Amino acid sequence: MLSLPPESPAFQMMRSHLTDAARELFSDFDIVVRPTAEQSVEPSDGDDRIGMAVIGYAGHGIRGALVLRVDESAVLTWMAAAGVPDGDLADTLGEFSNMLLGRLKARLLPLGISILATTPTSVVGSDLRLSDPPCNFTWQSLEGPDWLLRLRLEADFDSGFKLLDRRGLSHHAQSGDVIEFDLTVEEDET
Amino acid sequence: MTKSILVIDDSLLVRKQVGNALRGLGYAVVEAVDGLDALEKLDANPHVQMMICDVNMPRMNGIEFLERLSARGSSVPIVMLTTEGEPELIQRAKALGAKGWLIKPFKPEFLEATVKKWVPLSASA
Repeated sequence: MLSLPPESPAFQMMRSHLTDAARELFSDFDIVVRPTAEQSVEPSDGDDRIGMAVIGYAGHGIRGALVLRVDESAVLTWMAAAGVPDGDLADTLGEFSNMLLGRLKARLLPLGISILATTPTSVVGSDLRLSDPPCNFTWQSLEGPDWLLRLRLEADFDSGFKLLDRRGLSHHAQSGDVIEFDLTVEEDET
Repeated sequence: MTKSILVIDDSLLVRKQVGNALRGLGYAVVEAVDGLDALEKLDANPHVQMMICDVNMPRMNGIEFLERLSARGSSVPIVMLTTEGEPELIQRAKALGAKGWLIKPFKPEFLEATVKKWVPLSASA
């Protein structure tokens, strides 16, 4: 296995697509986010309640994880934006990580990267610490209306990993798409 | 009798989103957290007239659930609601009898149109 460095084109391309995927996702909830220059993650104050979600992925020649880290108060605004103000914080964070990775997947497929995702694991609490992974990773931050979302992208590539151009192949469905398979509705007998 | 729809998703957020939307339209909603749970809920609620199902779920995912339904010869319409958009996966679901595929986050008006097509409210009004 070869670990491409964080400055490698493949890793930078993934990072860039992650930023765009996050902007698109929150836009669907009428939330505007923008990237910030801040890339480090300071240890939280012991009294601050934060949430973290981790969702793994793997594909041909690549494997890694996506980590979301955000203040609890931000997740409350996400739940309200989703129309479920009485939702569960950890569950909501996990679902947003799932939707974000789904969007990243859609963006990577035309480049020949086809990945499968795990189900997310999430936690909400105080004084949460995250160890560094044994692979390439970078943090990036996105600023929302009154919160900061930190994303950690982890990726390892097999030796010989190459980006491909599959833009001409079958279309990857996008967020909000509706695909109908069968227009025939049987007569209701009730 | 109120028409029932089974919503299968491991995320409480999605179950509530979809459930609230469907109840607002006048449907009854049964919830399941994964494919295995959905099989039990189907047995316990034979009057369910449609299913909306996630793909990535623990224990039994949506594709495995479709395989089980196919083996049972189920005729209850099922539409997938997922973040997945890979053509191969979509074709697999179609081959197993799914009626449609919606990508999260869903637009409420699209969900409504899809559900009303398969379970018209006018028939029970």
